[in-house]
Amino acid sequence: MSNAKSIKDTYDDSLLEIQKVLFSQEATPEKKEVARQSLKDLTTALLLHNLHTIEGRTAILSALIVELQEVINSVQIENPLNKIAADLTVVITRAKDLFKEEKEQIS
Amino acid sequence: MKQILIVCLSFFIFSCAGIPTEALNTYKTSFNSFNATSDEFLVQFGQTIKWIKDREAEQQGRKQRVYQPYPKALPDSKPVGAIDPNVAEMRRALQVISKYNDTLTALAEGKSIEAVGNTASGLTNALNGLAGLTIAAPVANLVATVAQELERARLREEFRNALAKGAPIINQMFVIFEENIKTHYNNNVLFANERRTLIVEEIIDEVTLLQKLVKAHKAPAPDDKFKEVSGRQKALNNILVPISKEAVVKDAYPYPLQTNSTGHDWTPSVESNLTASIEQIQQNVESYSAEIDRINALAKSLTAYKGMLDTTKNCLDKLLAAGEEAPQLLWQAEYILGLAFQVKQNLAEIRRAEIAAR
Repeated sequence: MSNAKSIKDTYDDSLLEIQKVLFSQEATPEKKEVARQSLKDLTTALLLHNLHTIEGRTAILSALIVELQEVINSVQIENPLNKIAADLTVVITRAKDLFKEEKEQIS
Repeated sequence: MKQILIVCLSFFIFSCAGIPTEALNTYKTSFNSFNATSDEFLVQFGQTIKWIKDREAEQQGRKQRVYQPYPKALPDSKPVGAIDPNVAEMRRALQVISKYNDTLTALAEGKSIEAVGNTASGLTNALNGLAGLTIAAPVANLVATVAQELERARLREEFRNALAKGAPIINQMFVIFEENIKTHYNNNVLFANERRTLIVEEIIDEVTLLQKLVKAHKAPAPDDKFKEVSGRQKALNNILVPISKEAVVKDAYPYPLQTNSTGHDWTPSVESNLTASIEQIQQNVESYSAEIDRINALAKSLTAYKGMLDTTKNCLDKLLAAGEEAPQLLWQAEYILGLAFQVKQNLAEIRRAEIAAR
């Protein structure tokens, strides 16, 4: 039997016992008060257990967010060689112009 | 020889599978619908966490033996109305997934392909005539085309890598969302069980008082202007139907109203007390039913929301597995829009039930 199932079964059994007292027409007010407090304690214990589980998942989620952010950062949408080629084009064009000027001066 | 090589290379690149844009678009549509609906869920989720934390604070307060009308220790500095950290992290996860999807889209759009083509053309133009070098126009065009195809191949590789690395992380995030959806439902069930039990207790206590009141009196005479006890009994039985399946109640129902031939006379005061008592019982039964309606609407809403998550997961899996042929995903797009509508409809039901339960 899984842990979650066992908790659920224990909760169901406890709730039923509490309801037997609270819904009874014979139970004394003192007995009912104890049952009401037990109901509150039982509910709170399980709610806090669930809250801790959520907080545990949140910690895992935080780590996953960092991992996914790293994947995004590693993606190269622009081609890095394109920038080099574009810079090279500027240099070659400038070299051609200089060469042309030089040639004109000589002639 | 060089030209043959270039043509062969071009042919090889052209024949490779492209980015599965249709699968990507369907996954994005599905995720965007899920993301848009998530705000509603996260508001509820945060509200329930607040109830739990309030309950925890209440319990701590009960344990405190010495009266102290101020915090026992300095509270954490938190701006008023700050979002619960669990909710904040779930929102952040959705934002990062959106950003990741935008990155995939940018790769699929391939804007850099045109840029690379232009750079290649610019470079061959610049080289043309340099130191006597002559590049024929068809060769220059072919160079630009090959450069573009190489860029297309790079983008495709980048896309596949990003998908292979990112999809498993997103799937794990989705598992956490799924688990939180289930826990959110369980938390609400715990609160509802407690409220329901306390309401039924109140009803039974009121019914017991009512029975005692009737038992202390003689039945009203037929010519009196009072309602007959049998009529009251019938009304009470009908009012109590919604709680008649509860533990203990199912064995005791219907609760008999028995007069006492040796009791006091039936007076207008008894009559009005009886009416007030039955009205109180009815009001409590309505709150009980509203609480049940709220949880049933929540169950439907969360099932639809979880359905949206499952569909998004399914679309992501198909995108990851997409090969040369685009997967058939049109039904998912329509299905998820239907689920989004269902979530909204159920949320309206929850709000109506919440108002009725007050």
